[in-house]
Amino acid sequence: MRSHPLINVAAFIILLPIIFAFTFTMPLIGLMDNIKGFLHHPRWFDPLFLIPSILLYVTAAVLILWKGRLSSGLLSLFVAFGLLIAHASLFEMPRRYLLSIGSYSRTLGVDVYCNGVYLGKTPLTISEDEFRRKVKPWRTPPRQDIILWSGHPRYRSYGTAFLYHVPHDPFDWNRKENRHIFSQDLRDEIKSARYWWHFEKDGCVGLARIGNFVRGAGGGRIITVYADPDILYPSLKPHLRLLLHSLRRSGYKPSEEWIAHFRRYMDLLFYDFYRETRRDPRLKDALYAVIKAEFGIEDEMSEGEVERAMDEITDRVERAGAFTIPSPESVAIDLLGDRISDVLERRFSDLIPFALKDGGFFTSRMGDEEIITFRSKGRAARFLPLEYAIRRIKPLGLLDRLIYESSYGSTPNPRLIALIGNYRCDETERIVRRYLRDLAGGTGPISRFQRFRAAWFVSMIDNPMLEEDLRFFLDHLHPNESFIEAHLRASTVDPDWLADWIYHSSITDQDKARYLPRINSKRSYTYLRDLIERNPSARETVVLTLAGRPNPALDQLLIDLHKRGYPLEGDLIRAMFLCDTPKVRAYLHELWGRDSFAKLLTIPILSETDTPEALSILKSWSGDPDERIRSAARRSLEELSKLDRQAADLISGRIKPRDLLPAYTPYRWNGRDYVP
Amino acid sequence: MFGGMIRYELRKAMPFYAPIMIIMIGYVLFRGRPLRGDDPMIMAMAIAQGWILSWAIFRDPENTRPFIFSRPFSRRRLFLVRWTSGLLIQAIGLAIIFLILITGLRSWLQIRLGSLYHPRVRWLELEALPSIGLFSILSYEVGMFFKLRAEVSPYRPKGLVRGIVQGLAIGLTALLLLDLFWGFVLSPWRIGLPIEIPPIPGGNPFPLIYIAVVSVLATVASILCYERMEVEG
Repeated sequence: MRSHPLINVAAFIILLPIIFAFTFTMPLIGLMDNIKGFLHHPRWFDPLFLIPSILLYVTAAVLILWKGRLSSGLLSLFVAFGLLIAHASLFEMPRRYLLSIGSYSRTLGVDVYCNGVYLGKTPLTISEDEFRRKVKPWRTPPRQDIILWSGHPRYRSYGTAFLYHVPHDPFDWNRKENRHIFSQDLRDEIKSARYWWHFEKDGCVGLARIGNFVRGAGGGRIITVYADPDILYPSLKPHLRLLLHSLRRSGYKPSEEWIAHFRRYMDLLFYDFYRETRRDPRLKDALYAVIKAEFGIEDEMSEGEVERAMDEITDRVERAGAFTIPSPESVAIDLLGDRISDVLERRFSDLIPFALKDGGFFTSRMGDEEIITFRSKGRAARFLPLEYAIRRIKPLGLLDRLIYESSYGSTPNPRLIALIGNYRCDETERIVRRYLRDLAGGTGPISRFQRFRAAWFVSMIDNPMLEEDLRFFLDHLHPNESFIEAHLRASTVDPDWLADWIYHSSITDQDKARYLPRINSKRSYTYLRDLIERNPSARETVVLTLAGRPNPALDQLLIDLHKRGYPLEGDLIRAMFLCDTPKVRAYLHELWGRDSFAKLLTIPILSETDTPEALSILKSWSGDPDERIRSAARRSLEELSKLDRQAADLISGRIKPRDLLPAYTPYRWNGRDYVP
Repeated sequence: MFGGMIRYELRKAMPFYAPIMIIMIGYVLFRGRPLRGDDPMIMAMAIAQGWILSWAIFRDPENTRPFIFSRPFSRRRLFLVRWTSGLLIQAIGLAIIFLILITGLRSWLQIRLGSLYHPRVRWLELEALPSIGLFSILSYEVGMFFKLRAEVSPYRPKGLVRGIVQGLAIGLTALLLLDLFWGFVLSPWRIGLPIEIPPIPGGNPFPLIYIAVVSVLATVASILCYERMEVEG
């Protein structure tokens, strides 16, 4: 009996997604990729494989659909697929290159120019073909409007200098300048360079270095070259100074205009401003005001408004493909606080199937603070802010779901372990302990990298009940900067315990001198005193750290250091002034009273610190009987009053941040070198 | 008459279906970690269950086939009785697992055994049920269709060459299916489709749409096969 057509159609449709779609769309060996490769770089033998394959596919469809011959149809399909596999594996397809700029940078939206052609904003991805089509090579090195040399100008090195136009051929990424960037003459490379890059962000000029332009490259047939130049914005420092000055003059209460201005340049200003809040915590209110305005966060919010704010955060993270701590988004989550518990519970279930798909993280430093950037693509990226929020808020409604997700499988995902570890309950603690035990014992097929990655995540657990286990586990892996940083950020860790751990760990004395001053504990004072006695070279690091992040628990240490002959200039006086405890205040007043030279040393620090307290001291010193002090204080006050006008012009938009740049000497290429 | 037919189908299917169902119940009871829809063992057992059931229901020992097909009702009706019996058996199997979970039998046993089981995830374990049901139905429908299609196919293997062709086709398809199962069905279900689709409450609709289309088509085509089957006395 002849088969009914519907039977053949049913067989065809059942097999369609399994066989046809699969062999069509499989990466590299599927029909579509083979055809794409042929269209991109046709070779004479490609049709010998592709035409028979396509004919066999058609034959397979005809045999199944029309004749109802399933076995023969399937067999011809497999022969076609075999031909495609042979074609893809025997004859290597030509490689294609993609350039990805700025995808690992924490400042996104940077305008990228190459040889004067605008290519787009970061994160930017461009293929080699498109790049060559758009950008024509320059035969001679261009004029440099700005060159910032590092170190002494006499020993200037192009390897470490920041240039207005930075030379680089991104598709020749294994060049000499990427391998050895320091202290060598790169003039030959500059002379032969054909592509010159320039960066701007919100109209602010960015300077970049020749070295470290490319982070690396990877891929199979399509290779992506990741370029992440170190970009320096020379206008940033004066810009921030004016904004801070204006804010302090208005009693730390930002005006609407100030907030609008900050929001316009937030990508550039955020990190440096955030760092300033460590020195002067009164600045935090202004930062919070900016973030509230940016994300529409109010003191009283309806559920819909909370949802919208969370949407804004997750949309931004998805667009960037990254979530950074700290960042405007992370601060927004901190400000929303417990109000997002319900939103988290709802979204967690929607996103968890996508959440652990891919992604990684990288860390960078901002002074003594570690910045963590988590990366993911598409919808998976939307989970990143949720993950941060869950770690902070610990919504109770998610506990069951988290235990369910994390207790499945022989090796739970460390990201989930880091989430449940923060809940204080027997079950979660049992899961984390078991996980740590398995990880430390190295059971299961887990590589060294995986163990390190897992350790990095679990070190973020902020739960006093698990501290003992975590410490044991992390000691087992040798303490690492990231583990210690995570514990320094933890809110529930006992500071005395933390000081014990850091002091007795196997890290270097210099590292101990960097971490111990950040712990607000009397025990860190004891340890630091011992450390300095044992290793006097640690003093500089301790003082530098305290100048950037005052610690009231260490006021006596600063006084001791001065009494033992540590020079007062620069960081020590700054650290003492910012520390501002009654003890250190009394010591400084006594010092200033008996030593007018100490006053002279303090005046530039007061002028730079620019706080209301500094200003009132400067005002009082402007009537000092000592002429040198009086005139220095008056000069500083005059300079500060000039800043008042400049700040007002900047905030009102009469001048732009790039107008704050000093007049730089341009450089031109004389055939052998750049000369002023 | 229909009651008798259903009893006959149950008697015919149970010797094959019951062992795999017992294995599944054992797995549900004794599995020390949470039960989930994407557990490969659960899915494999659900697929095996559906396939074995379709084979057991739609097979007739040669001596009973003429008798069954000579009963005074249409072949379509006979097919529907058998098809419904298969679905009913699967529904019973699913109900047993549901009862094991909601009565707390599994929790009680796990606590008694002192395993790493967390009782608070008990209700979340019900998420395994849709997965068991869907995979079981899919394999039941596909198994039924290919079994009945083979009955009406004019190209049934005769001779060594056709046997080799069919063996190769089935073997390679099975290999590809396995690969597809991990890469395109199981992983996307768990970790999202390779292609970004707008979020839909309740998860990824791709497997559901595929299962629905295949089930409807396979059922309709199987009826056609049933009507065209030749039964020799």
